Amino acid sequence: MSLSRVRGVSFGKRFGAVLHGYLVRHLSREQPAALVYAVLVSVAGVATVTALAWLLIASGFPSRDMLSLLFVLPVLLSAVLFGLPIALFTVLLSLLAYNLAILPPLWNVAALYPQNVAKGFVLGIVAVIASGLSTQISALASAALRRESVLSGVYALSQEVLGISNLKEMRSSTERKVGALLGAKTSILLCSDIPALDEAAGLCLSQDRPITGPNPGAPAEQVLNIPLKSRNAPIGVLQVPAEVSARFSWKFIATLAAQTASALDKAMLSEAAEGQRRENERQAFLAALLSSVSHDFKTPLVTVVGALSGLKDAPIVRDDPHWGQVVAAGLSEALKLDRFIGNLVEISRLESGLESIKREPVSLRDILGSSFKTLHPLIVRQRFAIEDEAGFPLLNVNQPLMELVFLNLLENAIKYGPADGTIKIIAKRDPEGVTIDIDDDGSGIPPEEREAVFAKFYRSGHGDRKAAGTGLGLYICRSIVTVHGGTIAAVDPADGVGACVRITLPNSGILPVMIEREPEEA
Amino acid sequence: MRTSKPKILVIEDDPQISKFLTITLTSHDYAVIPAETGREGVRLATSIRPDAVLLDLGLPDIDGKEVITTLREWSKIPVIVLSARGQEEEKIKAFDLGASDYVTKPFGTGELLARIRAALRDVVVAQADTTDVELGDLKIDFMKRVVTIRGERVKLSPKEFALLKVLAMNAGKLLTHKYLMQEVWGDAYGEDNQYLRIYISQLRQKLESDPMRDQYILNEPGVGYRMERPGA
Repeated sequence: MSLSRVRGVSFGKRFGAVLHGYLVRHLSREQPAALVYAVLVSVAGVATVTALAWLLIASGFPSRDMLSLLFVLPVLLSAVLFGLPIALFTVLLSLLAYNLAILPPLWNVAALYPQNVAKGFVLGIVAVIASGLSTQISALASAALRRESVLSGVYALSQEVLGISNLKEMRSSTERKVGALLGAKTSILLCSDIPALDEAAGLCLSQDRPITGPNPGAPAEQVLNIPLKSRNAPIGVLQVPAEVSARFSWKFIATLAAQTASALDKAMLSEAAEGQRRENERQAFLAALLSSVSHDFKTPLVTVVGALSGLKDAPIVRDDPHWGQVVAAGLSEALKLDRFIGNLVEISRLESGLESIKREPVSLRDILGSSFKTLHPLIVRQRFAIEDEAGFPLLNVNQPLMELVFLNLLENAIKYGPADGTIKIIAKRDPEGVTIDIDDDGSGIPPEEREAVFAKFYRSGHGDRKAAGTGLGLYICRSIVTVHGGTIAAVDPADGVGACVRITLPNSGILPVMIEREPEEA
Repeated sequence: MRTSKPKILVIEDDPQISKFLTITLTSHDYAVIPAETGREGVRLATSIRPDAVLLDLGLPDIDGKEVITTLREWSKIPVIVLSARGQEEEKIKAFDLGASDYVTKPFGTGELLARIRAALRDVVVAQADTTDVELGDLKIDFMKRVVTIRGERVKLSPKEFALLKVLAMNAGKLLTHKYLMQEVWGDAYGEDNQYLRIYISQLRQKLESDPMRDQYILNEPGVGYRMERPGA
C-alpha cells in the first residue's frame, strides 16, 4: 500500500481497515503468540498500576478518585504497542481493576458508579485516539521504510550497473536486480531478439506502450511487457509477471523500466565506444605497420633490384644461359615483391582516407602502357590486344592509382591464363560512362567465387597450380575503382572462355575531347 | 670531347643504396661523389661542379626540392630525382622546380644508366641534321617521312609525325608535356595538354599493334613522355 493511499482515506474507514487488518494479522493462526503477548502485557500493565495505586493509598494518598488517572498509562501503552482492540481490552480491564480494587467497597462487582462509567468512557477515547495516532505513525513509518527500500533498490541498481560496460552482463545483472526489487522473475528482451519476440512484446515495442499478454514460455501465465527506450530509439522490452502491477505502483515500475533502459543504453554505448576505440587502434596499428613495411622493405629492394639488374646485363651472366635464368628469376621475384608492397602502400593510403584523390585527364593507352612496361619481364608468349573504339574518351582519374588497377588485372590475366593465350582489353563508351573489360583465356573464375575474389586476403582454392598472390590485388582494384565512383566485377566472358573482369566508370570519370581529324599523309 | 670521366654527385642518405650506386656508376666509368645530406650535397655541388646529380627526395636534413631550388640558382646541371612510388606529387613538384629526369625506386641498372646518358646529352632540337632513327622494330626516315614497324608502313597525320619526330630524336629523354605542346602546337594551347594526350593515344594505336612488345612511348605520369626501345 503506497503512502498516498494511507493519506487519502478517512479516519473511520481507516479505523475499520486497521481493525480488520489487525484481526486478520493477529487472529490468524500464524501469530497466536503475538496476541497472547499483547494480552499479557495489557494484564501486566493494569496489575502494575493497581499495585502502584495500593502503594499510594497505603502511604496515605488522600484521593482515591485521582488514582483513576494512573490507568491512562496502561491504556496508552496498549494503544501504542498493540492497537485499538487491545487498548479497549485494557480499558475494560482498567475499569474492572479500578472499581474492584481501588474504590470502596472493594471487590464488589455491583458497586459501579455512574461517574466511573464516565471515566471508562474517557479512557476509551484515549485508547481510540492514541491507537489511531500510533497506527497512522506506524503506517507513515512503514511507507517511508518501503519508499526507502525502493529508492535504495533503484540506487543499488544504478550503482551496480555503473561498472558494467558489457551489454550481456548488464542485461543479466539488471534482470537479477529488478527481479529482486519486484520479488518476481523478470526478463529483458532486446530489439536484436525481435525474431524471438512474442506477439505481445512485439506489439509493446511497436506501439511503445505497456501490454499484458501470455508468457511465451508458459502460456498460462500473464506477463506485463514494458517498452524500454533510450534517448530516441527503442532498446527492447521488460517482461514481468502481470501480478506485479497489483503489488507496486505503476510509477515505481515505470521508474525501474526507465532505469533499466538507461543502464542498457549505457552498456550499448560503451560497447560501441569500446568497439570504435579498438577499431581505431587496429587501424592505427595497421597504418604504422604498412608504412614501416613499405619503407623497410622498399629500401633494401632498391639495392636488390639494382644489383640483380646489373648482374643480368653483365657479360659473364648474360652469356651463360644457366646464370642468366637464375638472375632473371631473382629479379622477377624482387619486382613482384615490389608490386606487393606497392599494393600495401596504396591500401593503407586509401583506407586512411586522409588524402582525397587527385584526378587528371589521361588516356587509357597511357595507363596500359605503364602497366605493360612493368609487366614486360613476366611475358612468355602471351599476346595483348587493345580494342578501343575510335573517339574513346580520356579518363579523368588518378593516374598512379588507375595504373595499379590495370597492373593487378593484367598480372592476374598473365598469371592465370595460358602462356600462349591472348589477353584482350575491350573499351567501350556508353551513355552512363565507359566499360573496360580485361578478358583472358585462362580457366576462369567459377560463378560462386566471382564476388568473393574481391574480398581482402581472399585466395582462390582453384589457383593451386599457380603462384598464389597476397589476396590483395583485386581488393585494391575494387577500392580504387570505387573511389572513382565506378564498379568492378567478374562477369561472364563475351567469348565464353576464361575470366573477364569488367570496370565501369561513370561520366564523371571520363573527359571527352573533340579534335578535328587530320588527313594521313605520311 | 671529354678528357676525364663524367662526375656524378649522388645525394642519398641510405648507405646501402649509396654504396650500390657508387659501385655501379664507378664500374661504368663515372666518377662518383657521394653526399649523405642535402646541405652536404649543395656544398659539394658548388665546389666540385659535377656533370649530373642523382638526388633522393627523402633526405634527413633538408627537403630534396630545396636542393633543386638552390642548385637552379646558379647552375643548369641535370638533376635526376630518385623517387619512390607514392611520391608522385613530390616528383611533379621537383620537375616544376627544374629537375631533368627521374627514376622510380626500385630501378634497374640499365634504366639508371640510360637516364644518366640521356641527361648528359643536350636536348636535340627538331631541326637537327638527323636522317633516321631506329628503335627496336621501329624505323623512322625523317627525310622521306616514312615510318615502318617490322618493315610495314605506318601512316601518320602531320601532327602525329611531328610529335613522333620530337620524341624519337630525343629518345631516352623525358620530355615534359609543356615542351611537347610547344614543339608541336606552338604557344597556342599553353598548359592544356589534352590534345597531346589524344595524339599520343592515336600514335600508340598506330605504332603499338602488339601493345606489350611495341612499347615505344612511355608515359611519365604528371610529367611528360619519353620514347624508348621496348624492354629497355
